[in-house]
Amino acid sequence: MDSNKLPARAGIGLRGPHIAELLATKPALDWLEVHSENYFGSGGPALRQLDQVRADYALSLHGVGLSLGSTDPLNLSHLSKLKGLISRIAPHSVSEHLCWSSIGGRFLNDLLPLPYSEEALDVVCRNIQQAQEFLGRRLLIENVSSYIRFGDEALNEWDFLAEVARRCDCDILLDVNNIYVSSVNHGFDAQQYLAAIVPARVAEIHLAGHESDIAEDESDSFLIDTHSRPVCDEVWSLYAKAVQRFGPRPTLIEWDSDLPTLDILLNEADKAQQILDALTPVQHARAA
Amino acid sequence: MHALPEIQSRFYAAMMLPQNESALEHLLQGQTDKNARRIAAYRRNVTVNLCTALALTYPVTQRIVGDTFFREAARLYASLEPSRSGDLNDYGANFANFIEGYPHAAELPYLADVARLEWQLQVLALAADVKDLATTGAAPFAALATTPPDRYDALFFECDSAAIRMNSTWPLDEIWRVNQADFAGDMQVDFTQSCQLLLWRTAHGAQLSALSKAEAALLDELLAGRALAGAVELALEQATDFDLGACLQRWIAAGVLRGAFSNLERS
Repeated sequence: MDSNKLPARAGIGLRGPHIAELLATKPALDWLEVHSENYFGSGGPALRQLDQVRADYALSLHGVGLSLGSTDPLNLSHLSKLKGLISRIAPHSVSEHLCWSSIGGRFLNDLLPLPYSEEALDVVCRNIQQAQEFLGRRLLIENVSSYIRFGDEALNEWDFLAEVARRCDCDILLDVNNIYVSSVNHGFDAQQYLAAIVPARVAEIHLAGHESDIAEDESDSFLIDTHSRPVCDEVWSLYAKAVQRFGPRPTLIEWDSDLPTLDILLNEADKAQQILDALTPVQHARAA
Repeated sequence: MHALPEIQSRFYAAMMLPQNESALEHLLQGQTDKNARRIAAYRRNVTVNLCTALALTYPVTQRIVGDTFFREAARLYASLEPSRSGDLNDYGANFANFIEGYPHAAELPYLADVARLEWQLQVLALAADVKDLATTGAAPFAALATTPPDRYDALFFECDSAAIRMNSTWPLDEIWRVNQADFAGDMQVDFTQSCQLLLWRTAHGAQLSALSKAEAALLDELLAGRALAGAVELALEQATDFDLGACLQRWIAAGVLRGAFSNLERS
């Protein structure tokens, strides 16, 4: 497992309550992902546990707090902690989100939507380029879900994302659940989104569950990206279309609130693996 | 379209106060009433994220006051103390001071000290590791054996710099103990007692120990890098029967005292 790429197989997001069980039972999984910021301490038991996890599994560091879409200057202390963690853990991949969370040094600690404007494109590309330079490696950038859209946006989200990847020479972490949630919330065609993304840029796929915010007037209802439930049928089917287009890719099950047992997470990963396995012979045939 | 800093400022303001929502709504596509519902979802997320982070850092405080009280306090704290970091482990440093001035907590005068303790435990849990004593080779306490007691003025200790001393006019150690999730015994606490604490760590994480006044006096001196002679003198002032050997043994075994060195050897 020493190649520096994540295997194109199913993995799970590893959260605190599951770590002891994972280390005790060592389930057969090819890779795991953790939130980078949870390991920003200088030392202590959490980091030592992550060393143990890393000894047995390929690992992806997934950041939630860098705020690449902020007009604030990049937070160098945050980046330095990330760099320290990268050098300790030697992860197979490092990712962040196409979003913002801070303004004037104040953080909302959430993955907030950017307006898809030329200005925002310049800001986020500058920040990604600086971060990649500082870290000395290519980042994976993930599309977030959104509930609102800004007026007079010059670009579609998918063109914005594709252009970020092109300009920054970064990879894309395509969150299929986020595409689905936003497609319902904003009424766009999720497959058009997939079609706009260059397959070679997609280095990882995320899957997760969402919930509905149900209004009395049904047309006011919308989907919230809660990571609190199993992946829904619509997202599985969009995922199958994504792997048909992009080929087999490292695929992660994310679950962050109302955490299930580790078994249930592993079952979800199995479902993703079956979709990947079903695809692989076709890919081989094409290659032959 | 408005400039990005303006959009983000309005978004931030709307997250802090519902009254600021309309300034954000003007920048959005779609119907205002639909968007209000969606902005509220973002506000809920932001608040829940901060409150959850606070609850993770302050489990005992939360246990003492209950979920509803804690959530209310956390919500008010979030509106007064913006998060200054993309790492939520940094959030909540001032929560103890907030509790001290929080009128609804006035009936729990020890609560602020409980929160102070919990913040320090988190700081300790994230502190840089020290090298394992067993791997450092030479006998780290040789100087302790070779220095005669009348030259303890020249004997110093290397300490774990992450160890934290804390005093409280409340029996924090007892309050903390009976409010652990797995505690099943008698919840009775004698609130007339004060305490001296040492926060230290093992491989498994942060630990909390109550100290006698004499032990606290000794450790305060040694942790500050001052000589053993003065430390013993201060300890004996607290208790004439202070057992130096037992105290040193306890904290050497705990890894808080990591080595001894004498100025005499060096000169």
